[in-house]
Amino acid sequence: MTTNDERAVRAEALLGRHGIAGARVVPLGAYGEIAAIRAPAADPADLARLAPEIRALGFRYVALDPPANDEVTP
Amino acid sequence: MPVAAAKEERLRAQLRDFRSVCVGFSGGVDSSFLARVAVDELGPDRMLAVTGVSPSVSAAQLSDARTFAAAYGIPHLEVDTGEMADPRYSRNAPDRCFYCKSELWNRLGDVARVRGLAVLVDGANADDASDYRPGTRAGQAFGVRSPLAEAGLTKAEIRALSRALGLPTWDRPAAPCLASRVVYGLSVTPGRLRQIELAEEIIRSHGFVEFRVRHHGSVARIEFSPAELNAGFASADDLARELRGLGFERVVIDLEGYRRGALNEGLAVVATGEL
Repeated sequence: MTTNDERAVRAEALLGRHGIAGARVVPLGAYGEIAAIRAPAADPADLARLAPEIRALGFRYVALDPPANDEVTP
Repeated sequence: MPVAAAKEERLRAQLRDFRSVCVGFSGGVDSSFLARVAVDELGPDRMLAVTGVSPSVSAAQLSDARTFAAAYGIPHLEVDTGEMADPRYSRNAPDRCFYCKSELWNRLGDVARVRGLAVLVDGANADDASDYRPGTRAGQAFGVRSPLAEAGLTKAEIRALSRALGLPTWDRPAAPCLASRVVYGLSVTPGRLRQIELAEEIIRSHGFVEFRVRHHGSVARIEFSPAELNAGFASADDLARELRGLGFERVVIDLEGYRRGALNEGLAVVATGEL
């Protein structure tokens, strides 16, 4: 899943500046109100510390997007 | 006399002044304490605890209310409420609680009149004024009194007094209705409420105690309490697999955890239609 959402692009850049490379951010929810972060190599506690800065980019909530979301359901 | 004990005395005196009461009873910490004190002060002939039953009340919550009432000799009545049929409720605007509580107190008012009970009371406490609560406005329209709040009792004090009385509810997590988990602007339907109820049962079966499943349409966002947040991160994949089986396309874990009234943070979204 990729996104052209400007908020998401800026959030990915922010994570990169904090040493979290390769993170993917996707807007989710009924209004795109959730920044869903996929960064398997990152410690969730590090992502949590950055959540307020990501929210300030225009999201209401910041959440961890587990890899299992991409598994094909039977 | 400690402050909380003095407030409890004030509460007991006020209930005696009321002479008879109909208690809006959810089985949660506050209304359970209130019902227990009310039956203590007024006796079972001059009080009645009433629980509104609808898809927004979980089966577990209803069971807790029944068990508590039976254990403490509290007369208990369940009444069906029809808020789901009211489009002003189901559209899920920020004033949703007003229409739900209006329906509830309308039904309880009928019960009180038939049973000859003088005063409708709820379990609102002194802390509740700090959150956005349109339901309180509905209660005021029906003349509902809030004796815990009027006595100045805070949630922490109610928990301490409940513990002193030996009530099993003293450490029960707050359990607002299931509709409070649906993001504002997304309609409340029996199907969505059932998804939330089942999702929370699954998470509870993993050993978690204090959390919320927030319904964002195709997405479930789980908020764990700070104490359980790291365990929630560790279980993220397992929970995503299980909750997707309930019909959610994606399941995400909120990085900041459970915050009381978290969906009220989305009020601006509903009001303006944009972020």
